[in-house]
Amino acid sequence: MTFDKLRGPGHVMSRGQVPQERRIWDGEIQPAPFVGRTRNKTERVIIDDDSITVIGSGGTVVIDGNSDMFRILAAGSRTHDTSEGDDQVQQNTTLTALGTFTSTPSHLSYVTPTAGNSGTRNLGWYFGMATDFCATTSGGSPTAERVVATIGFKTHTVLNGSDQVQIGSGVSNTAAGNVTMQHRYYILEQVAI
Amino acid sequence: MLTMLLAYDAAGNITETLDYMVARDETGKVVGIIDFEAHERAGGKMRDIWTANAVGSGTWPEWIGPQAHAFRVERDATGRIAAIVHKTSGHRREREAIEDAIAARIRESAGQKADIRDIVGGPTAPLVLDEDGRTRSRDIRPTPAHLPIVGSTKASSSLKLRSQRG
Repeated sequence: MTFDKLRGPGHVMSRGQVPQERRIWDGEIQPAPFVGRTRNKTERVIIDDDSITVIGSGGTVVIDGNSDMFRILAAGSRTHDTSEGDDQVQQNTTLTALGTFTSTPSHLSYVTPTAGNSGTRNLGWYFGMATDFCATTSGGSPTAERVVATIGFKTHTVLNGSDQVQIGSGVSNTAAGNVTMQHRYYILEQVAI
Repeated sequence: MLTMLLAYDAAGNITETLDYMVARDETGKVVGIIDFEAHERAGGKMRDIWTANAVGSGTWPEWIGPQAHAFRVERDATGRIAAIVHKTSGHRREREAIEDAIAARIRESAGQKADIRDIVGGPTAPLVLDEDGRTRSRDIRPTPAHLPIVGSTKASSSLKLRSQRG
């Protein structure tokens, strides 16, 4: 039996439409959306007027609008070609069709200078690093060994003048040569669950 | 049909992708997913959807995610993306062949829902390509069977329902 087949008068699952009746799924429960999560026969799923509770052997999960999760509004990828000498060069992509926002949405981004399925995945920022010798005082002798960034690449979301969200990146490239940075992104919205 | 979007530079190199985008109402509530292809077929501008760092953009019937950056586009007389060509191997992925495969699968399904995921992938499950840009198996090597596990997410086959007044 599927979740859909259990719908009907008094059994509609959306909020505000389940009247007085509480339905408890027990034993070998298999409502379709939960298939793969309910084999344990001690688990129960309780559907109330305004919540769904899953009681599992490892804990209880309540979906009642009082907790938060991130929903993905859009997902895509970009490349950003950089050249040695780039100084805080920015590129933005405007996601017009998402409409406008009252505050800048968050995002999850991965960046890498290595294309391909097995390339590294760096979370939002990338630094190419080298070890150089520096002076600890202006005009002093360059004898202090330091880690320096040859390229710094960062990603961001921002609202433009029309309150549309832009996903973008900025780069400073002092000594890395020509590099094509790969950027994978997900635009996030905080919603209740 | 849902598709992804590809943006390209003056030489045709794919510079950006957009796998999917939701539609929102005036309260910010998500009301669906934008059908890029229907908009394109209706003569709509892609800048209604996004403004990329590119000379143009258009739909592509497969989801290949960031792997698209290894390709360049070829457009037909109408400006629509007709094929994507792997920049190092030269392997071509043709829109017409993909659409023919989809149509054949729909015919074979005899009125039932046609499963075309192996042809086009999906917004959250892009096709996996090899280094030459050809579709390769999604098969992965599973956890070794001799390792003991706790709990199980495998589905069982029966259902019981009991109800009570709450």
